[in-house]
Amino acid sequence: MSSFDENTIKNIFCEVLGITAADVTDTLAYNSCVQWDSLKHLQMVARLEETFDIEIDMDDIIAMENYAKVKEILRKYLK
Amino acid sequence: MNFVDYLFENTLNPEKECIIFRESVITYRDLMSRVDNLAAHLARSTGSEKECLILSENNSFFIIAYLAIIKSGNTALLVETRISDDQLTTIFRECQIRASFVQKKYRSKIASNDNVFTEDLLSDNLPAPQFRSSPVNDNDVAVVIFTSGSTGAKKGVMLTHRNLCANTGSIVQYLDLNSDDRICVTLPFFYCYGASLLHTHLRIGGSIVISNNIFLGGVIRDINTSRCTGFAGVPSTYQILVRKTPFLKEKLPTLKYMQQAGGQLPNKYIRMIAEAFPEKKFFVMYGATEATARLSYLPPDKVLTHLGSIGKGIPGVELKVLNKNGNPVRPGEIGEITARGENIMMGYYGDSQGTAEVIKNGRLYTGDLATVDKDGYIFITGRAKHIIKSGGYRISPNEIEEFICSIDGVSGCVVIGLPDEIMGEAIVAVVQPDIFPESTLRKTILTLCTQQLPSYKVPNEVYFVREFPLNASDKVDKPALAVHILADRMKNGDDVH
Repeated sequence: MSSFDENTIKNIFCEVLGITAADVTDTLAYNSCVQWDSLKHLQMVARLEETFDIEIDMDDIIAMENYAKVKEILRKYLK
Repeated sequence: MNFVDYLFENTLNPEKECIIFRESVITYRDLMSRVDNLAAHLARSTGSEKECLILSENNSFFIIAYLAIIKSGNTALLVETRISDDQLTTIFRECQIRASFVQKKYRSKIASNDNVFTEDLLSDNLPAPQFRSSPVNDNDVAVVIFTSGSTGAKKGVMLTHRNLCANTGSIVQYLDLNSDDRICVTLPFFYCYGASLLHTHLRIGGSIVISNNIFLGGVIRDINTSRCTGFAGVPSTYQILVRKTPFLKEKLPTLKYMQQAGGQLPNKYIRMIAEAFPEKKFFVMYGATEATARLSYLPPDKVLTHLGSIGKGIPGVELKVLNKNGNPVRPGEIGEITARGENIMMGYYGDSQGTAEVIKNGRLYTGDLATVDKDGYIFITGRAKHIIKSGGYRISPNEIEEFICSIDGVSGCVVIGLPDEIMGEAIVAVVQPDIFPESTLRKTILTLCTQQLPSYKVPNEVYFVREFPLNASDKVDKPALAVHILADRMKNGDDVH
């Protein structure tokens, strides 16, 4: 099992959404972030799955609505 | 007739649920009164025959603003929410925009402060006098849709009240919609396909369930919870549902039919869906923004017997595939799809030359190449501008894409031409594998292509991606894909993949 690494997650957010690390805070959310649309979400999920070698369940993909929640969900898959 | 009057002409039950968005429901009575309210305000503040921009995702704000603009005799300019700042600046420079309706989330994209309205407008409870539609001519432009051109420059497709009424009526007829229909909408209203879902369901007095989920898989829940009877998607919608969700195993008991347009869904997906849901109708359709939305459909009972066909012209549209001499093609011969009907656009905004290139003698030349079988069913072979010129051959990517897609282990495939010193263009197959990493798939693909395709159609390179870049219409963004591969080649010294 891959290990949880917040920097890696943050980097994926920065690269996929085209924002800076300073913008990636716990409150960064799908509903308010202009760059974060459903296609970017799919790309982000693909990158997270590839990087950590995991497969994220559909209900979790739907629940990953903000950065804090993304980290919380990834902790279930990573040690 | 004003298009909005046409839409509400047959509304029988004002208490009927019209728009369902998350937990909120707007009835026909609510909607019409809010539209009247805003239309009256617009008529007073801006007059009529002016241009008003909408920049919003799907929500009740979009619908109310859109209908109010049209009802007050103004023109609604629709742009995608992902529009770049440069493109938006160009639109503001070239159009005479008098008012903008902008979702708060995107407010910072608009520099102007004059007559910019956000969702807050809807919470103002102004008195709602019944508003009589501003008189319009059938040929007045009601809507301009800015489409994502593959060259980067956006073209504004001008649609008249007549265009919109005609296409809405045709679609209602062939889909056989009635007031019991409830459509689950994930496609944006700012494009013609999403807009057609809104138009048709208002016209029949049905219901529109707006499904804006962070992940497409959420539609399964929305279809069940909101008891939807219909669902609409582009190829990527169905490909994502099949690959990434338990869609094919769902029962979806309320769903009567699904519709698909916006590009070719690989045959294997059509077959999987049609076979998983034998009791539901699956409509494969074809269209263009220049035709308001829809041009053809394949009757659902033909979906497996005429696999991959876009069917025949819809009611009111004369669809012909013409060869370069302007004559209808013989079976097997390739020609260009052309169309005549009341749904064909007035033209491109501020671009009479561009208009003259696609509309000749009142006939729209779509740029799509196709063959016709002996029964008159049309099969698309490619886009004229996507033709790859390699080693003296003109090669349509579609046949190669369809072949590679049929190979086990392949989820999706896009074939593009990249500059090549010897061949002119090299054929590059970009493949999305079922499982990543793809291990022996490259070898399998190349072996099968070599065995079964003419040598000039065998890809020179096979490249693997996890997800395709999509443009705002959710179609694979071929220019972006080409740029990505060229950059990757530079990085890796030109010899990988």
